[in-house]
Parts: sequence; C-alpha cells; structure tokens
Amino acid sequence: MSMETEELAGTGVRYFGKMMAAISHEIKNSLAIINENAGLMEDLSLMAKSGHQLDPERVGAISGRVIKQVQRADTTVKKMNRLAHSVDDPVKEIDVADLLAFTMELGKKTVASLGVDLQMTPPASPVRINSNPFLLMNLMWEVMGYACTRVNGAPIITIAIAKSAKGVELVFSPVSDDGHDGFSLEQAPFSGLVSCLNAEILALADRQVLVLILPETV
Amino acid sequence: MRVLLVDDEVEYVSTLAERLSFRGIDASWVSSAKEALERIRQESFDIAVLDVKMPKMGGIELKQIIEEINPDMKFIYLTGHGSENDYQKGVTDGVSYLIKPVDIDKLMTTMNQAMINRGS
Repeated sequence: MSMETEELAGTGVRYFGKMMAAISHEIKNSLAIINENAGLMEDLSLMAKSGHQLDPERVGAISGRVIKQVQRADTTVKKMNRLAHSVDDPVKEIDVADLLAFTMELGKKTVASLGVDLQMTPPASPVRINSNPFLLMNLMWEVMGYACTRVNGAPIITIAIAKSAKGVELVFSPVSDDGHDGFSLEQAPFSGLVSCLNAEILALADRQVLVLILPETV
Repeated sequence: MRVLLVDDEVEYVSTLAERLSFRGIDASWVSSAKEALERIRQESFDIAVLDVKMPKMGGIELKQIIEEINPDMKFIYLTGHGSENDYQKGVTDGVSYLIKPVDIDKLMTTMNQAMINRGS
C-alpha cells in the first residue's frame, strides 16, 4: 500500500470509528431512558400492590416516553445504516447540501462538546456533484474539526454552499488564524483527502473564511 | 443523602431522580454544567452524579470546578460512551464510573459506598 493510500485508509477508519462511537452513545442514551422508564413502571406497580393508587395518565405518559425513545433509536440506526452504505459506491451523484447536513447531524454531539454550533446555509437550488460519498463526508468532517479549533470564541460556524466556476464552494466562517502559527493547510489532517478528491482548500485570512472547493466530477 | 444528578438527557435524569426519591434519596437534577454550578453555589450536596459527555462542558471538567467550590463532595461518573480514555480518567480521579443503562440498585450501592468513603 502506498503512503498516500495508507494515510487515507487511516483517516477513514478513524472517522468511521469516531462516528460509530457517537452513534453507540446515542443508542445507549435511548436505551438508558427506556430502562429508567421500565424501572419507573416497576416501581409504580410495586407501590400499587402496597395500596398506592396507580394513575392511568401517568402510565400513558411513561409509555409515550418509551415509544419516543424507540423511534429515536430507530432514527439513529438508520443513520448508522446510511453511514455504513456510504462506502458502497466509489463514485456517485451527490446532493452536496444533503450530504453536508447528514455529516453535521452525525457529528453534532461531538462538535457541541467543543462548545461550537454548526449551521448550514443551503444553496438556492440543489447542487449535485459526482464524488466518493464516504471520502467526501470524511473531508467535510475533517474541515469542520479544523474550523472548530479556530473560531476565536465565536459560538457558531456557518457553512455556506454555492456553485462556482470550478464546481461547488463550501465556505466556513468565521475561521481565524489567531493564536496559531499560520493556517498550515498542507499539514492539516485533510490534505490527503483534498488531493484524492481533486478538491482545493483556501484560507482567506482577511475575510476569516476557509473555502473548500469541490469539482463537479472527481 | 443529598444527590445532584447532571445529564443533558432530560427524560433520563428526571426519571432517575424520581426513582431515587422512591428509595429515600433527596435527588435533584439539572441538564447542563452551567446549571449544576449555579445549584452547587446555592445548595449543599453530598454527591454529584455526572454525565461525562455533555455539550460545552463534560463531567470530568465539571468535577474539577465543583471540587473548588465544595471539596467535600463525592462524585460518580455516568456515561453512555464507555471509552477507555474516559474510564482511565475516572480511575485516575478515584471516581466510580458507571455505564448506561445502569441498574438502579448498583447506583444506590455505589452512592452508599461513596458516602462511607467520605466518612472515613
């Protein structure tokens, strides 16, 4: 395996592992809520056996919470399934906003733990490119992570999507160089992915933005 | 025993607090580190049960700040994540580390043990 392929494989496995950990955390949370509500039902039934009145409204509310968590876990498993199938096709047509929204959703809690929120400004009409879905998600995630460490106290990073002469632009802002020794994009963890997907990345320090340019066809 | 439960999953932490109250525990709950610090500055608690992964500030960082406010408090980490790094951090900090979903009797035992250690 070449160094480049080895590096890409390592980056991909790390991304997949991180997302699987986030998904398992989400499923565990749903299971924990179901567990506590089942336990609460057990507590209430034991109390009813010893003479306390069991309120049917209360039972209905507990049941409703369990149903809600089952639906939440089902949604989480669907996300896991979509992530797993993102490696099926080496190249396919991708709705960039849809894939970015999915990537943001998968990493939402991880990013929130850094104290940053991500918001997307979608394009006026759907923008589609031909690319590798998994590698593109990995690239989007790495650039998000890089941007999150350079917000200079800003609570929100906005990612705007727009068509450009070269393909599609994803503009991350604000991203500043404050406190860092240059943007060092060549050393950033996404440099191999940028090259593999024929993409470009530019740091415009004066506008405090990072621009990821994706070609229409990889 | 006065216990503060801190977890960003509101439906989880509120139900757990109610179940603990059935078992004679004076349990309060909040859903963020910020709210936890506000409560701890106003009230006295014996134990804090902290979710390790929360937005903005997780349980490990929160514990360090609480200890400065109330050095006598005991801590239990509770998480759905179960990562090796977090577990090791819990071990290093000398804090019990429970993984969700947790058995309430195990949580009660862990809290009682923490109170015994506090008294010794």
